[in-house]
Amino acid sequence: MTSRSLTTYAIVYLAFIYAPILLLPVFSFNDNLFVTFPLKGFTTAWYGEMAANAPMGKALRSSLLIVGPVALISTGLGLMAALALGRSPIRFKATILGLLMVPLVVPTLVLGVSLLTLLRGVLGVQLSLATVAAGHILLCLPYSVVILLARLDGFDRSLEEASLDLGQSAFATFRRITLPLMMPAIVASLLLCSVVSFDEFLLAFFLSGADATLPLYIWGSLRFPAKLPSTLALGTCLLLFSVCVVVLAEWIRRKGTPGSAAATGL
Amino acid sequence: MNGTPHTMIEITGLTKAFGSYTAIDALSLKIAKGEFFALLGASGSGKTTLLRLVGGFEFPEAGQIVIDGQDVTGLRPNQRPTNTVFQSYALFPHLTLAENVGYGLLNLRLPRTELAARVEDALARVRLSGFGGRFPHMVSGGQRQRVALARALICKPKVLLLDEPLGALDKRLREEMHLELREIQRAAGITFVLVTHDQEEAMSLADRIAIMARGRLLQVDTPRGLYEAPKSREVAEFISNVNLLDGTCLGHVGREVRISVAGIGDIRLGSDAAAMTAGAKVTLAIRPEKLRFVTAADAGENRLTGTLRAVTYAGDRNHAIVDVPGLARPVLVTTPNRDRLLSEPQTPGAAVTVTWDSTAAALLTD
Ligand SMILES: Nc1ncnc2c1ncn2[C@@H]1O[C@H](COP(=O)(O)OP(=O)(O)OP(=O)(O)O)[C@@H](O)[C@H]1O
Ligand SMILES: [Mg+2]
Repeated sequence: MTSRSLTTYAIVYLAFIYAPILLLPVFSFNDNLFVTFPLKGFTTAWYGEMAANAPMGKALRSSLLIVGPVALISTGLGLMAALALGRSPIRFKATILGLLMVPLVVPTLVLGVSLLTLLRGVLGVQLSLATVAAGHILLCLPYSVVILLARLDGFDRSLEEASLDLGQSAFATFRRITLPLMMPAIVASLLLCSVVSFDEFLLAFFLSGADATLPLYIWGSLRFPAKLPSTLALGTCLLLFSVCVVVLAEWIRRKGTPGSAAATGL
Repeated sequence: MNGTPHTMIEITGLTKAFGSYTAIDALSLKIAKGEFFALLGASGSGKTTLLRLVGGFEFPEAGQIVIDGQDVTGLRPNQRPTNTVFQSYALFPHLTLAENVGYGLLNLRLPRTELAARVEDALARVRLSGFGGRFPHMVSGGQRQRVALARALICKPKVLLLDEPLGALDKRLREEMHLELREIQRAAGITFVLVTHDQEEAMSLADRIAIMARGRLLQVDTPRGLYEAPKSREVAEFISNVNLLDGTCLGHVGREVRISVAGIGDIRLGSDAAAMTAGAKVTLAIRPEKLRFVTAADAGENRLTGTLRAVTYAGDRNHAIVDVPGLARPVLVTTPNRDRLLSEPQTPGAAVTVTWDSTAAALLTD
């Protein structure tokens, strides 16, 4: 009885989440400028239009350009913060962790306005993709710290002590023991930061200069119905890509740590 | 103690505090070269902390640690001639057993073949030949334990520190490992410092045992010394069961001393009696197996009478509890089970007489 209703609940739940996403590829092949049922016919024209759309390509390139640096820098900073919080005898750890988490709870709107004020008004910096990337790093850092700290707390500290005991220096211990054991969480952090940066809209809206990122471009193009189907085509490509990434990440995570079930995933 | 009387570890005035809590309190200790030394104590007494101080994982507020003539107090673990077997084994999960065992040799930059040969040799010594390619999660607890041992021993430390290395193993495996540990220690001639809260383990393995409580050493002695001649009430009670009798010294009778114990009467003490003066308050410790039941007529000078409260059968022995009027705590009597058809008084409520030799009791001096 209960298990029946639970199963029903689970199916409804999954349908609610995935049905809209599955509509994306369906309409991207539909031979109709307007996104409505009934479906008319099969076409790949929107994909051709997408490929030919130069501003869209430029926006995609802009987004991809900042994703790498944002993911690497946030994860790098996150790793340092996690090591300091999880492995060193510094004081006020709870306070420091709290301060690191602030961007998670401050409305992005407020963050955007204040960063804009700071960069333009106070520092007089030219807005560009670099300022967007800086904003994204600020936003990604808490995610990175949380993921990495969870992993660091998840494995026995005596592993590092054993390495020191067996003659390795602190740095060699980090390289040979801590880093490999952290690797699944590092990969997870890189992926999550990439995703956060890739579809972030508000900060990009406030902090971008002449170059639009992909979310900004899509938002701008919604005013023109003719551009919608090619946007659906783009969405389908991104969906396919993210499925591949998730599968790859899971594969790395399983391969990464034999025996330790406590690996932190996404 | 075996080997030369040369000192391997000398600890002087060692103090370690965590916040306002003093975990190790001005502790001094000497451990000889080649000695198998055990730290025994209740949970929270500071055993692990002391071991970690010696290994270099914690640093003291005061005091000094000298290992083989070298002051190591401020040195890091990788600079000390010690290696540790951790309670959780701390095998590196992402490395194979062979890589784990060879980890301590990485700094030597040995040629590949020599490294492999040494690792294989070390694995063979703990009976794990051919297991080198496996990962730690693919072997049993006992095997992991032996890998941890091989990994620590391959560095040829002067001192091996073991923190409850057998804690996670079942009883049979523990006993097997006892023999193995002892053999490895003898063969390698390495000084072992073993932390345990298992009294039997300490007794059967160690040359000497230190009893710890509240960050101090209560008594450091051979297993026999601790059992037969405990210095304090706390040590006597920590090591197995004991009967404690409070009394007053009445004076010497030849080589013996006469002591008056409330509820029992006058008894005689044969050993340790030299320095006692009449009128002194004393406490005697008598182990339960040194008492025996007799008929009233056969009882010697040292005797007490009471009521049998209960007898517990333990296979090779019987444990009897005897209530003695005038004594706050009941007297424990352990008797060997010599006869399949019982020979001792068995019915609770029976009046019994208990006797012992005058050399059976130990005088507590602390
Ligand atoms: N890192 C620490 N921070 C604060 N207090 C600590 C720390 N390590 C140990 N202590 C305290 O020091 C005391 C001694 O601890 P220790 O681990 O040495 O005990 P132990 O004798 O090994 O006990 P057990 O048999 O339970 O392992 C305990 O009261 C413990 O709470
Ligand atoms: Mg301990």
